[in-house]
Amino acid sequence: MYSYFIRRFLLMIPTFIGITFLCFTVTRFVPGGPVEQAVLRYQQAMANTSEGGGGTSDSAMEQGQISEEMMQQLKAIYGFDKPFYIAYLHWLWRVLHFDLGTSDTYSRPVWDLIKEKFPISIIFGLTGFTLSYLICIPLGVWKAVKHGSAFDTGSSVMVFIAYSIPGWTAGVLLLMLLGGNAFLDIVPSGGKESGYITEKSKLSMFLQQGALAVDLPAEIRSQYPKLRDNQQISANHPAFAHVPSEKRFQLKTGGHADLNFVGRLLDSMWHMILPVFCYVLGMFASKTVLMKNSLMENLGQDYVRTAFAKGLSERTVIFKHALRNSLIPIATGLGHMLSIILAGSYLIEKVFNINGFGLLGYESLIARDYPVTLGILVIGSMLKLFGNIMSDVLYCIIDPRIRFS
Amino acid sequence: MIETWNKYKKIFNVIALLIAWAGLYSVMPAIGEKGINPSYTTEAVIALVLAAGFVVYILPLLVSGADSFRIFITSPIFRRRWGKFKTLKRGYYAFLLIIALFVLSLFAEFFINGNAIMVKYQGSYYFTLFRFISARTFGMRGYGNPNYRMMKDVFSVRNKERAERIKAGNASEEDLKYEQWGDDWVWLPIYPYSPLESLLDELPTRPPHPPTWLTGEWRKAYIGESLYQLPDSLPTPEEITEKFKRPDWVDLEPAALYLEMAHAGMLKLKPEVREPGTFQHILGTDDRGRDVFARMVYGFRTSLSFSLVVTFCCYLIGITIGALLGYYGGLFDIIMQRFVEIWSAMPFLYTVMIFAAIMIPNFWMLVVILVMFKWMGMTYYIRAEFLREKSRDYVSAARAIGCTDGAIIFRHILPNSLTPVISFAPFAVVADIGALVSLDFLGFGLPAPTPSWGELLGQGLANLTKPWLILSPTLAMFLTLLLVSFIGEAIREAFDPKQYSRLR
Repeated sequence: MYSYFIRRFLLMIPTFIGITFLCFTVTRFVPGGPVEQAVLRYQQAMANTSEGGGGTSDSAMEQGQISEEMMQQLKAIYGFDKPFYIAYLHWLWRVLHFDLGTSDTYSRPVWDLIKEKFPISIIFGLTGFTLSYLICIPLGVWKAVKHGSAFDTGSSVMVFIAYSIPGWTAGVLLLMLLGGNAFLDIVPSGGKESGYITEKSKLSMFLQQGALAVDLPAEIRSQYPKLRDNQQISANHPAFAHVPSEKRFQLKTGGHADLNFVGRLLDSMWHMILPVFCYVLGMFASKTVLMKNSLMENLGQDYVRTAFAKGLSERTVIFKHALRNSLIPIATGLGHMLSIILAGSYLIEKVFNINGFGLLGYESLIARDYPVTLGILVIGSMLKLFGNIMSDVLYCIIDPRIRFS
Repeated sequence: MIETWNKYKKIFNVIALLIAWAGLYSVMPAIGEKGINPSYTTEAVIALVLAAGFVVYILPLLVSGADSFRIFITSPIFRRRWGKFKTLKRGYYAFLLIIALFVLSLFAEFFINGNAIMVKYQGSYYFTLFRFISARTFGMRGYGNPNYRMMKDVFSVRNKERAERIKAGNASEEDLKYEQWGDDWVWLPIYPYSPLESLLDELPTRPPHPPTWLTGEWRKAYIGESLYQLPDSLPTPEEITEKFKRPDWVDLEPAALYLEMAHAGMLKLKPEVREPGTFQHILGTDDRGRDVFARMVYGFRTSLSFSLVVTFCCYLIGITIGALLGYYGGLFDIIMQRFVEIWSAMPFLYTVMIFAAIMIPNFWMLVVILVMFKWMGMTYYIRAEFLREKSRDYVSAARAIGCTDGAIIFRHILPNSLTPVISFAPFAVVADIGALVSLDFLGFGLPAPTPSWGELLGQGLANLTKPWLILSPTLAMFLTLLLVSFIGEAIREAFDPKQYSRLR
């Protein structure tokens, strides 16, 4: 048993190396990488300046040509100066020290970017995941108990519909229908929080007291050089405490940060409705059917017959005997939770413009920001590998009959 | 079947070699453009080597595999299950409908196309459907592909004028020749718009154009671009109440009044504006002015063929490897199973996104990328089937009478283990369509002008106020996936029946 898990852990190493090596190699050998893009940017910049009439004397510079020396420097910046296997080993060595490199577009450590975006995706995904369990398990159980009834048939129609429409597609559709674009205006049209709350918005009743930045005492003011004179600050701002009480006033308009706790919570929840619905829709069909079939299978087993024969009530047989056993395949799915959430996030975050992990991955691909791309791949594949092991562990914990070898 | 193949093996092999060579060679320039492959001779040699490899190693496998599939579908048990499938009306009719639609869409060029099917000009007939014929040939301006819709109008006007001239007795020399030639005509397809053709020149307003039967939307667009001919003076209050019978308009500002009048259809368009017919573009146009309906139909064809090809290739590889693992077992089985395990641990969507984003693939490259990361699913099932079937008596009997491994695999075990292939195929097709649409939506799918649902959805997300850009692909995809999953459900019920028994 333990040897099985040790073997699984050891197997993670070649898997991880295989995945990252494959993708690292692809980023190396296909034209249009960061060095080429930098050269292109440089040439465009040069073309613009020479059009502007700046008479540079160097003719090579004027044409935007790049000397061999500069090319070497550029390659060194992006780590393209070494053969790819050496570069891969260097990269792997740094990854083992939790250094995923620096993003080309954001000029920030990739690790920081991921740490910043990851919780956003997790909040959306986890809410969807939990909700889908809360909906699918009772529904599946009820469908199995009432197998063949009108309720079963009716909910099967729903399952078919949910199966035939990918969650993110429904997201685009609902954004058009409900997002205030073509028909109704009852949900926000994307993002994770309101940017600007007008007086008309119902959220404006949750706005806090505020003050103008100009009213701050000078020594406090100098700590926040980014504030403009007429900029509002709300009670959530750390400097607010220093504003004299007579200068404070009730805010009429403002952003997400100017709301009080309840307002911020409501605002976030309001923005979560559609994305979370999409996550749930994406998992709805398969999970409901899995739950139903699993329970149906158990209800046909001999031990259920025995339980009935010894005179237990239907409720006890179903909920105490059959349901427990039929939850096993559903529960092992929990291990893959994070990788399922991340797989959904690439599309759903693009649709709803949520600035999370998935959108970061998408944008890094568009911008050919390879350090970020590879960083996301590292995190994604690590989560998937741990997910595989987690589901095996869960299997062992839940079902004592299982012995891996 | 296999007997015929064996009889004419050499001829078939040579034909296959030539076809494979030609096919591979025609794909190769795509690689050559990127500077990997320097000369045509090298390309031809590489293509020949690959084609020879295909004929020697892969073709026999394919032929034997096809023969096992024939044995499988002619077996009485398959016949019985197929009979069961036919009785499940919903799935069976969905199957017939999808087949019919797909076959019809393969001939979409004949129904939905900007190119005419046939043209008669000055007594000669031209088959223009798949051929480029310069506009000059037909006496039109320009050297490009003629606009056949416009040509049809021009021809009919010319025909009419000619008839009048002949009637009046002042016919020219050419007119007299037409007495022998007969009138010119253009035979257009039923829906004469191509999916790739931008209609900016023909439609008055800016794209995306609404469906042509949405008169209100069009009127809004006309007002927005001031294409209405405004009357010389504002209508007086008396006119509004008595002639228009709309007393509530009296107090409106002029701009608002004209807006209301335009919506009620009381204003006339400027004379140079050519209004489209009611059913000219039944689903409107996209943001580059291309007909959405045409793109939807061609997108259906692309999606379905793509997913069928991907499913087929995945199953081919999955079955081959699964069969080898299950039949031979041993060290090969252990190593390969670890490899499959490693390969399946890739985060599928993101890895495919990386490959597709970096390589900018065409149709076949995208197939290769998807197959590369998707073939593993079937191996488990086939391996399990082979492990089970291998220990059956009929296999021992076959071995006892001296069958070779190949014969045992292809003639005995494989036909008995193809049930999971059939019952999983529809769901694999659903997944592949979903994958293609997602990739196209993200912009990592098929290259730019290819008509596809995902690309249209992406446009819809950028133009959320234009419902036709979202509703059309969503509905098309929904209906297709629904039909395919009906088929899948029925096939599962017919081929893999689970009888649930319950006490009460």
